[in-house]
Amino acid sequence: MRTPRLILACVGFLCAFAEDAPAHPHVFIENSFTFMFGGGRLKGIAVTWIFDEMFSASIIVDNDRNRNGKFEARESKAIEEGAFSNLKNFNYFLFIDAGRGRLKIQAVRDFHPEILGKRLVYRFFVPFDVDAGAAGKTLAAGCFDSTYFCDVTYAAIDPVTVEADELTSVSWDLVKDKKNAYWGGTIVPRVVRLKFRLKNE
Amino acid sequence: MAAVFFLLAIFAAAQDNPFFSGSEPTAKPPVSSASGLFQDIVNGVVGLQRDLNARLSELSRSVTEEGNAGVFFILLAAAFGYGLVHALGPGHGKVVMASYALANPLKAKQGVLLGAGVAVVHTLSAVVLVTALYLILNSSYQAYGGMPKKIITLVGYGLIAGMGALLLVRAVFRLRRPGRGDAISPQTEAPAAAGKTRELVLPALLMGMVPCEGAVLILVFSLSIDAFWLGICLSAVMSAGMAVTISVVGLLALGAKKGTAAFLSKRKNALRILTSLVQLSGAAVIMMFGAALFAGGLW
Repeated sequence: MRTPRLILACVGFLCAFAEDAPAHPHVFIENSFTFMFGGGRLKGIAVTWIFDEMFSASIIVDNDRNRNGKFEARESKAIEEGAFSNLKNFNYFLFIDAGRGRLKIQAVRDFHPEILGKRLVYRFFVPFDVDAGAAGKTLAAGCFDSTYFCDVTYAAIDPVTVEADELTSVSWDLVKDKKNAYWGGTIVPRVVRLKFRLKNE
Repeated sequence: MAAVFFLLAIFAAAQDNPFFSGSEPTAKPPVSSASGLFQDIVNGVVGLQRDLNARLSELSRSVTEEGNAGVFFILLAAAFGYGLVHALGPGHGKVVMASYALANPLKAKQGVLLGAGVAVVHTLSAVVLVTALYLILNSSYQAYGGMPKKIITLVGYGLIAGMGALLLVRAVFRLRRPGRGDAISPQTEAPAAAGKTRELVLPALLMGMVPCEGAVLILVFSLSIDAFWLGICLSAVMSAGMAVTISVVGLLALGAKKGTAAFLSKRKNALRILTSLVQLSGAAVIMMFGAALFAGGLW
């Protein structure tokens, strides 16, 4: 029977070259956002990443030189320079769109690494300035590594918090962003859709 | 066929650790979203790897800090599964393995041995790297993650491209001087044409010489819990899992070659032409794949 053999040949080729199969990531990150407001404006996002134990161990072993379970100022600086600042080339894995296309992040502030239990935690602040306005604004914010070296999920507890001021009304939900699917279209990231406006007087 | 393989190679380019200097996003062409069912499968497999990753660290601590010997074998099983799943991702020699199987007459046993050899070298190079960095040089993975890693991977890719070029020259030579053992008929190929098994040592070394990132992380983690011996055990078992995946890829390529030959068994001319095309294409893919990765690594 020729047809089954031909099918075998085709399937064989397809399977043999299924290079874009999943299960690539080496690092696993739990991400959470805190949206910070002030004076009726969105001032920026505080980002927190909690890493898996394996990657955590590699950074801790390399940087907690005195093995006291915490990072001193010099150690934190070394981590920022050697294991964080390069993420600028990857836009810090952040996708932020306030209606004018993806925001190119030039700099972040207040980078602070720490050890929580056995796990590495990165905290940093992404500053920007968006006026809520009476009509209101919608902002999309997501965190994903489109190269898929890192797998990013939202933290199970408090993935999104809002520090609003008394002038602004804020609501949010998590939505799938099919437009930014990556890794051969197989991974569809979830982004925070944040809606905010000035409260009516 | 070569053009399709080349496009696949572009998608297959492994990404460096983005946290370390010298790494930049590997450019990939945009693609449309895959079907919902496929996404569910992908998410399921990734979730499995995420859980296995967490389980490996948790079980390792249970073995070393609590002295829980009974958990040791569960840990080894988890490491095997992790290797099996991990090797599905790019950067583990599958494209080159499949292309090599197409470009060369191999017995099934040789396909398995080559896959196992690639996995062993890939893991062994991680053991050598971590031993050198931490136990000999008192350096760090972070220090390696920049320029030294870039150099090693460029050398690896360059050598793969070189191997592909040599295979291509040999395939062209065979084209000009056809002889015994060139046809891929299902009955005559394996016993008559297959090369010696020891000739697979060099391809295995070239395909596996870049250290496996997954194995490096496991080894460094084991150092952090003062149990490097456990990291060696887990890496060895993980390489067995990777060997299964890589060997299966080679066997599928050999099976596809054999199946196609059986389909054309009554058309000798077509079979001869296809043989030559397959050998040329396989060699060309290895060369172009290595060259593409080398070029990508330069930027």
